[in-house]
Amino acid sequence: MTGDRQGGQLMKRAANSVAGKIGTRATILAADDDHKFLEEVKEILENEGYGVITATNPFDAKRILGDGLVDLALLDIRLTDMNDEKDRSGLIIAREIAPQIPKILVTSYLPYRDNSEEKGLPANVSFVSKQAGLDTIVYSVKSTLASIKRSSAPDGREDETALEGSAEMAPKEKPGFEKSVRAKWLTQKSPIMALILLLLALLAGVLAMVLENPILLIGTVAAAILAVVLIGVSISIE
Amino acid sequence: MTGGKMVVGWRISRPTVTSLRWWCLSALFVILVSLWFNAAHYTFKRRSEEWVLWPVTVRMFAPSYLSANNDEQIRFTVENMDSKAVDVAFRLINSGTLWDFPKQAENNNVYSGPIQSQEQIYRAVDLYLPASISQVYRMRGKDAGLNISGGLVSATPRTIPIPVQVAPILQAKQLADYCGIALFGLVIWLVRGLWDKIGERAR
Repeated sequence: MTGDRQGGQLMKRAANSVAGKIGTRATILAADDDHKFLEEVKEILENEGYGVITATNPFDAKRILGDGLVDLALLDIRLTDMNDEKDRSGLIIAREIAPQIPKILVTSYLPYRDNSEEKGLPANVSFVSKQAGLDTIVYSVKSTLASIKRSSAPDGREDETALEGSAEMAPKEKPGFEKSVRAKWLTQKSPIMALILLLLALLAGVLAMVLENPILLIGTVAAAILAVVLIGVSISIE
Repeated sequence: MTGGKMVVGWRISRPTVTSLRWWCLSALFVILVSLWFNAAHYTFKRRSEEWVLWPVTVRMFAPSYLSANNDEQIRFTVENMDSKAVDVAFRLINSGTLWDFPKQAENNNVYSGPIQSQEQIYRAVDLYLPASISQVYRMRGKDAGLNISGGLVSATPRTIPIPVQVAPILQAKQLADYCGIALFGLVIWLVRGLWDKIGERAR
């Protein structure tokens, strides 16, 4: 009973937030360390008219949720490392950060649902399987936002604008998340530049052998280190 | 198919904290491959030579590049081709810029004494060339300056230059061994990691 009451309060608080945005689009945080999946989710939600902010690690996800800039969060459970079976970073964020914001835990590992760790999660946290496909995820997003609207509407009617998003509204970046063009360019291009640097490093190694000049090995080591530094810098910018 | 667009071909994902580990391992792999190939190039090459100093024939088997600051070995055989026994004396002489420390019997004698008709004498000379990095780099492309000097005791000794060079990498032999082991370990690690990733995707 206490849990239901607490859940109701959380839904109301979230509803107030979304209700204040009637006429503007709802903003969703999508957090996943799988970039490909994240881009697909972002694309489909933006096509539905929602504003999407992405995070690829728990720190960014916490920061964005903590700032209260979103109406709903789609969180991957294994947010730090998708291969680490002990990784529960998404679950911890859902439990501890911004409980007033409804969250959907997206995971490939649905056994989490039956896990005792689900206990202690706020009532506005739900689960959806990655395998169920993007359409199911979009449906979950719409349903969750609609339920928030219903709880906020005085006569309990559904507000269609929340369900559809509002693609016609001009997309507006949240302050603090604007990246300089250079930073964006570096983030996008750094893997290919790092790959080229590694190839150059290898080439320097081959030349050192062919020309019998070991000084060129310094170029090999320098280029390889530079490639890693480049990736590190782009991650820190990201 | 996502949002009406199909993703065709492959692309490199944007870097993440997880992928940084893979980038570091790839960089380490490139460094180790380069170091190993270079060190191995100077380590595994061998050469053999034959000189006829009638009535004896001297044959040599040695590394093409001597690795400075490592133990090296040059093998010689001296064969008497004549029908009667002869007395010979052969020494290893260094006229190069690097010192050499002969380790065999604590002197530079390759062989001195009688050789019976059709007899073949085998000697392995252990060498140690102490050098600094700048010294070996300066000797790039030049012979080490080692010679085999001698012949029949009764005749004037001849000096024959031994066509071996000094590897321009210090301790090339040791470096090839260590880099080879590290590379092998890294390849096993990478293959295991990729195998796990493939398994994860398949699940």
